[in-house]
Amino acid sequence: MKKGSMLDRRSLLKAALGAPLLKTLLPSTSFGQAAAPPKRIIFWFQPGGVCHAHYHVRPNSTATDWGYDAAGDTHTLLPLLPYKDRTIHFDSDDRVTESVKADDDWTKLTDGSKHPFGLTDMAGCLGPDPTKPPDAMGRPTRELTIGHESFASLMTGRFPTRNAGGWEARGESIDVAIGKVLGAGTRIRSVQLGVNSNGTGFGLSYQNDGQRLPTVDDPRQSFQTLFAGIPSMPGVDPARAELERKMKRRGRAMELAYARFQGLESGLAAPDRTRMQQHFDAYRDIEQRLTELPMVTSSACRSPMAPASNLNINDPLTLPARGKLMMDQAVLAMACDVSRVFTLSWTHSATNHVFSFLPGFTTMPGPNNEPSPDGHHPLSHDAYGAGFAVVTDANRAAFDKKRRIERWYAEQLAYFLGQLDSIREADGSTLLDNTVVVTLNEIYHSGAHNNSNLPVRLYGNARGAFQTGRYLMLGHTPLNSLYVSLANAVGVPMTTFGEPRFDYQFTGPFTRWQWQSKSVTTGRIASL
Amino acid sequence: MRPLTRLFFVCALAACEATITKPVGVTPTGPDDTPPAPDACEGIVSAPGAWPLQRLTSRQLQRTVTRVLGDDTHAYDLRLAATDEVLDARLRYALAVSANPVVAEGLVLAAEDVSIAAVSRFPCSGADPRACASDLATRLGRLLWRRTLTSAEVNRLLADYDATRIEGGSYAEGASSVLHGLLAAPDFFFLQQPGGESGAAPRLTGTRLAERLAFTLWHEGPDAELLDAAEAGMLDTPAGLDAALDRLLADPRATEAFGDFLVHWLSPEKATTVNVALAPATRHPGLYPAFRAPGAVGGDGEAFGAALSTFLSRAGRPDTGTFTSLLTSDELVVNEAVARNLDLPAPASGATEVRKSETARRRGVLGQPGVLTALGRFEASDPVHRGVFLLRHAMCFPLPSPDANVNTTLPELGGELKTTRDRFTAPTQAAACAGCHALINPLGFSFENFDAVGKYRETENGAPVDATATLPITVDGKKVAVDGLGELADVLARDPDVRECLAKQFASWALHRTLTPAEACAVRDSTKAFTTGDGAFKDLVRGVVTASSFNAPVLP
Repeated sequence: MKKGSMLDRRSLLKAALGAPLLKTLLPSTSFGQAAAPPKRIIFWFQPGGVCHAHYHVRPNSTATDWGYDAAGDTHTLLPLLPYKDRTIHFDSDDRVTESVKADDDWTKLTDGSKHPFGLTDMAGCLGPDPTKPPDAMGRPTRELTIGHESFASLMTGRFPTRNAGGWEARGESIDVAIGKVLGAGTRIRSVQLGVNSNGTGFGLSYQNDGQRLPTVDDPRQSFQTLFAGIPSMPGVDPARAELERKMKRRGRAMELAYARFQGLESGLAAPDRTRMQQHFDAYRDIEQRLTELPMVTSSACRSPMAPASNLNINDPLTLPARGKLMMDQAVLAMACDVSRVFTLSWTHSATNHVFSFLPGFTTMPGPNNEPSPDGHHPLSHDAYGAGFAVVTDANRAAFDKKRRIERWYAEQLAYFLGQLDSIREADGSTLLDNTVVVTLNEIYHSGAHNNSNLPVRLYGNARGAFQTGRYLMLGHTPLNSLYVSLANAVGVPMTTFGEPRFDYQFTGPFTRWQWQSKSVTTGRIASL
Repeated sequence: MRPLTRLFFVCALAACEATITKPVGVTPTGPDDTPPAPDACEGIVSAPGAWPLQRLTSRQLQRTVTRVLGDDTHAYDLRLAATDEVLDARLRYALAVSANPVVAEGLVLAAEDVSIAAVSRFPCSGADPRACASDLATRLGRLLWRRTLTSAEVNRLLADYDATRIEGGSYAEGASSVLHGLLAAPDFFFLQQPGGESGAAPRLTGTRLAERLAFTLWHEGPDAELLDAAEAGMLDTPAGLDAALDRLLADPRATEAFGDFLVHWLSPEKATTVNVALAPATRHPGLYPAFRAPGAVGGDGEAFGAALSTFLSRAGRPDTGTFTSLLTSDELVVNEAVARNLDLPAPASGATEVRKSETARRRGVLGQPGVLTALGRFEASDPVHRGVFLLRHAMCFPLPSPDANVNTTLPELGGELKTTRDRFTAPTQAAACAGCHALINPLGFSFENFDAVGKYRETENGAPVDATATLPITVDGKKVAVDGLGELADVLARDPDVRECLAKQFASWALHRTLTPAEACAVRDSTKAFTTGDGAFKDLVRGVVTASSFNAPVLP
């Protein structure tokens, strides 16, 4: 166990308990003198790729002269137009707009291409596969899987390894890495929230070299985690004294647990000792927020309404309401500086969730008793026919439903950005001014299952860390490089993240990745 | 796409053929002069699997506080169920591995919720409240930590009681501090792990053995009687262990826990239990007008699951049940939904009746409508998934999945295709499919007297039902021919390989991990009484918990 750490913690506790509950009730009248608000970063994950014709910017767009009007009213991102000046829309400078022709022509970098282009993650490419032949130079071939499993590498930026049960992430994810520094003084270094995100094994955030951080799908649970001790009206908290007594008793139970962790740990074999230590560390990690009342330093800080206790978190019809609860909680938790790093998972990769609150979607199972064909994942495949194109009437019907799902997501994001922009910080800026929201998706084209040119967009510029309002075209760029840039943008110095190099490319349709003569090194994106 | 498709067909075929020529579990079909399979365990050497420190799952924690403290907050379920990791949906066991802030907060706050709510169930009637608190720490501490606490440990808990009282807390608050301390400590949520260096550790004895037995056979911690026996060293003698097992298995908790194993075993692919598969079941309203889909209240699938549970609580009892009775019992459990769908006389309102099956072709657990429906399709019976289930779950045959590119759309009934059997036969004869379907189809077709909701039929669309099949199972060098589920069930019930397969799965389920090949062989040897005798589940359990994989720890 870490020696001496108890003492530090105790003195910290005393200091915190002695501090006034409300440091500043009103925003500083002199903006120039207020301390700069903290920077925040939010990872917004939605699965299933994008409907391309309704996602890209209009033809012939340039870095500053661009728009979403090409597809008219059916463009999925129209709700985000009000934030155009605060957007960076990434795309590939290799992408050609002609439709895919022969499916074995791998030189054309069309939407259905498997060749890495644009922002590319590590997915589809697992560890060296000994059963597959090495290339001419004797270098190993990596095993290929198809796109959805890429969640295991999406935010870690490391090739996952394969085990008997599936894919095992490695390393820690970017939100955890940023949270360690950016969130050092906050109650929670990084927060993982979701709605219906607990699919088998799904997870974006990892710590301790590949240990999944669970995503909290229950707004009642996250409400307690984020807002215990924070009143719903600034400065008024009738429950404070009672909570303080409870926290004191809780602290004693935790002290007892620490002694027992130490008692049990001695004598264990080394790997068990490590696991016991990890549990001890996890207790330590949450101790401050479970045993100390939060310090409310901003007039914008208040808790949202507590979620209804009879909330059904499995009801597909309440997904919008639960999503709104999570978004509102994230916004107010940032206003209270409870945490500065959030990951919001809207469902999970390959989800069968049916957006039954949208018109025309049915939850009835399919003819073979399989999940409803109106589930997001079945739609994402049914939308495409031969050559990864929308061909048949059935394709078109599925495509239209998928497009409406993406449009709905854009409406949610617009609401979220609006909420961020409505909160004033002490210096008069808004939360959105000090934040960067990153949209992530585990794949790009749900017909081709590719992990290239990922539909990443940024909203907000973390207090001027980069210039927004741009359409930014990139060559083949590892997503890791974007993470490096984003970490630096929010004040977390980083020169590399995840796999330091991306050395593989597809050598043929659906077969394998092989070593690429020209490798790409992870580092800051210059044009950002 | 064409060259690609062909490539995958070849792969799929190769994968299936590779397993066909390498017998595992069953003697597969092949030329009639196939030599008898060599002993699969001969020469198998593998390192024993390591025993990592094991945290209890949310279910085990919740059941323990419900039993010991009468908990009704369900706090462990609510706060921790989502953090249990299922390593493999097909292995079907939950593990609680990762340490992270969400788990830690769940453990501390569930402990708090439970301890605050529980205190009113332990009022202090004596004049000395501190003595009451001391009694709680000693008595409940022993049940929660599954061992007798040292006096220093009791005093440490009482120090928290004192501190709470000094601050002006009530007796209830002081007592809940004691419970909170007990529940938030790692002694509650970790199994006792032997200490020492990596490698083989001394055999499990005393309370370490007791808690593993209880969490396996009851899904909750040991009771005072088992701890008494453990601390008196009685579990460490064969006679004492036998007596304890008899008592554990006769308890309704054991029937419940073993039933939980069986519903995992009976699950179709992609569902964790048969009940999970049944709950959302729907049927074509034109073809199965009696079948109610789930709506505001549960549908017929859920009612079928309830009937199945009743069946399992009789034929699947771990103290008196046998594998033979599980597979060949002539009982049919009938509730209102079963009677309505199977066209049987309705039972008394709200009642569940155990009746003799209406036909000799309906036998055992495989003949219960719950299982037949879970392994059924929307519009028809599903011989393929019934056969796949038997190969994978009853015979431990490593059947590969068809490649995603294989077109599994079935032709519509009509014209020449009169029966479901006709409909499945033609498309499964293609070269890419025939290898595996030579194993799958005969097993599945012998269920054909039962439709998609498990109703008995002798004709389908006017044509007679053909439930005859030559099974991919050889007895005395000859492939076995059967007519109907009753005969199939008899063959399966007698087959020692099927019992070995069940033993292997029960061992894996008990250990929350897969067995190494050598461990699987050790389990096979220690469950001989089960596989060669009359198949008493008591022998299965005894064999699994006396195998080295259960009682000889190997530290990681």
